[in-house]
Parts: sequence; structure tokens; C-alpha cells
Amino acid sequence: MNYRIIYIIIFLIFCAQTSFAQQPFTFAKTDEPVSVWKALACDILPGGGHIYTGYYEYAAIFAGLKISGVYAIYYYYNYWHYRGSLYRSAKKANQAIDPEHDLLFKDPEGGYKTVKEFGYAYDRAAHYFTLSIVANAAIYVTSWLFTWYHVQDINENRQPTYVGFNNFTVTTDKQGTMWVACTMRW
Amino acid sequence: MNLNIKSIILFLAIALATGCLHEPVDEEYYNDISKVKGGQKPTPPVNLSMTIYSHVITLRFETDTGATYDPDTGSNENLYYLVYISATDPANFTDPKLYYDIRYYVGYVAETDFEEGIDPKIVTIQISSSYHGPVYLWMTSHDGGRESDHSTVISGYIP
Repeated sequence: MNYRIIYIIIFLIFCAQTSFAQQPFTFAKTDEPVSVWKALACDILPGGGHIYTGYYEYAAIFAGLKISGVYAIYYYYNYWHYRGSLYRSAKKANQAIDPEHDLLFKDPEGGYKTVKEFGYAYDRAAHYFTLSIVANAAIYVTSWLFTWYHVQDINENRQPTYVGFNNFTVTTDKQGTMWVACTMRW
Repeated sequence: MNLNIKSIILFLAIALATGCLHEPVDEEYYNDISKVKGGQKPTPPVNLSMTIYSHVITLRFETDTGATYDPDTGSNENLYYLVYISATDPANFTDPKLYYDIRYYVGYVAETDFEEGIDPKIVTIQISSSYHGPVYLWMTSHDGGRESDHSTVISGYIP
């Protein structure tokens, strides 16, 4: 276990303790418009923006997706380095044992591979790492879009209401004709 | 569920997640013959000779002299014999890997295809009737994982 894992464990235990304390909290006054920028800033944390806007089911979903996404990045970063080390080791060993033949080395994931095939697996691992970053970006953008939409939705309901009313005025002139005037105010 | 149990579950989940990670191997990881398919490489057939008659090459070679074997099994029962042929002298190959290149590979026979203990072993190769010129021929052994060094190269001429 290296120092990065220890840092992650300490961070997550700290988060768990603060979350499990069950203390009431309020992010925004209900009678004031919600700040889009604050909501988006909060959404950098897993589920933060959705907790800020009060959409807890979205918070749970996006928190799960973001934590999984960050783990996927870390996992595939390690996997990329791992495949790279296998490739370099196989290349060196092939050169040392029998440089005239393409030897088949036992792949820890099963089967046998030549140095060239180890190279392909190394490239694939790099693609997985890239894809995990792209997927995380997509999750973050989607989460921000939902947060932004929810903020708009909340603020729309919190706009001051303009009360409209109608005023009918009924008058009669000398010839006995009745006039009706309608005034609408908003 | 109190905080301690939740913390334990969280810790176990993290341990499971980190346990799935791959640690890079060191550069000497594959410098171990047990991780190479086939282990030690076999030795090639010996005493190759050929005769050419009407675009048919009759190749003779020996494998039961004791010189052709797989060091991992100590015998030649599991060996295959690969035949390579070229119209140019392989001595002029710029890369020794070309001795084992697919473009010169003709085919293979297995030790078990022949009667046990009988030498020389004979195979025939039909050459296209449109070809006229030199032919160079060599063989290797294969144990299912590794290929031997090439045998001596023999040559002939198709008139």
C-alpha cells in the first residue's frame, strides 16, 4: 500500500465522520434566488451541487458516478503503468534470451503474448485511461447541466409575483347609454 | 448501524478497491525461462540433403541421432519440423530474424508423422513448374512454444 492510498483512506474516513454526524445544514435561504455559480462550484464535490439545490436523489446518483469515475481514472492510470512495465520487461527479456525469435511470455491476465502483443495491450490500457478521463468529463458536464437547470427552475419559482386585477367602471351618459371601461393592471 | 461499523465497512470497501489495482512489475520480471512458453528452445534437425527432379524436391533430414531434442523433455517426441525455402541466399539476409519469417515458410511435419527411430526422414516439396533458378532450404524444430535455431542451409538448382 503506497502513500496515495493512505491519503485516500484518511480523506474518506474524515468525510464519513462528518457526514454521519447528522447535523442540520442549510445552504441557501429559501426566499432568495439560488446562486448558479455557487451551485456549480459546490458541484465539484460529488453530489455537492445537487445537495445545494435540494435534489438529493440526483446528488446520490451523481455522487456515485463521480466517485466511481475518479476511481476508474486511478485504476486505469495504474493499469496503464502496469501494462507498460510488462511490455518493457518482455522486450528486455526477449532481447536477452533469444533476440532472433519472437518469444511468447506468460501474461498474468492469462495466455501468452509476444512483445508486439504486449505493446498492443499497453496501447489499449492507454486508451482505457483516456476514456476514463473523457467519461469523467462527461459526468461532470452532465451534473453541471442538471445543477444549472435545477437552479433556473428554483429561481423561476422564487421570482416576485406580479398581481394582476381587472377594474370595470360602469357609467351612464345623458342619453342613457351605458359605458363599461375595463382596466387591467399587472 | 453505528459509526464504527460504517467505518469498518467503508475501510473494507476501500481495501477491496485498492486490492484490485495492478502494481507495475520490475524490468527483470520476464527474465525467467519459466515465464516463456516452451521453456528452453529445442535443437534443429541435422544432416539435411535434397535431390531435385522435375520440380519436385525430395528433402532428407535426421532427428533421431540424439542431436535433435527438446531440453525440457529430453526427447524429440513433441517436436514439429518446419521447412523454409528461398530463391535467394539467406546468407545475404540483413536481419537474422528473416530465417524464421513467414514469407519463407513452406510447412511442417511432426516427429510422430514418421516411424519411430527411423532416419533419414523424407518429405517432398512440389515447386511451381514456371520457376527456374536456385533454391535454398533450411529447417527448424518447434516444441509448441519455442522455435530452434535454423539448421544448416542447403542449396540446389531447378533447371
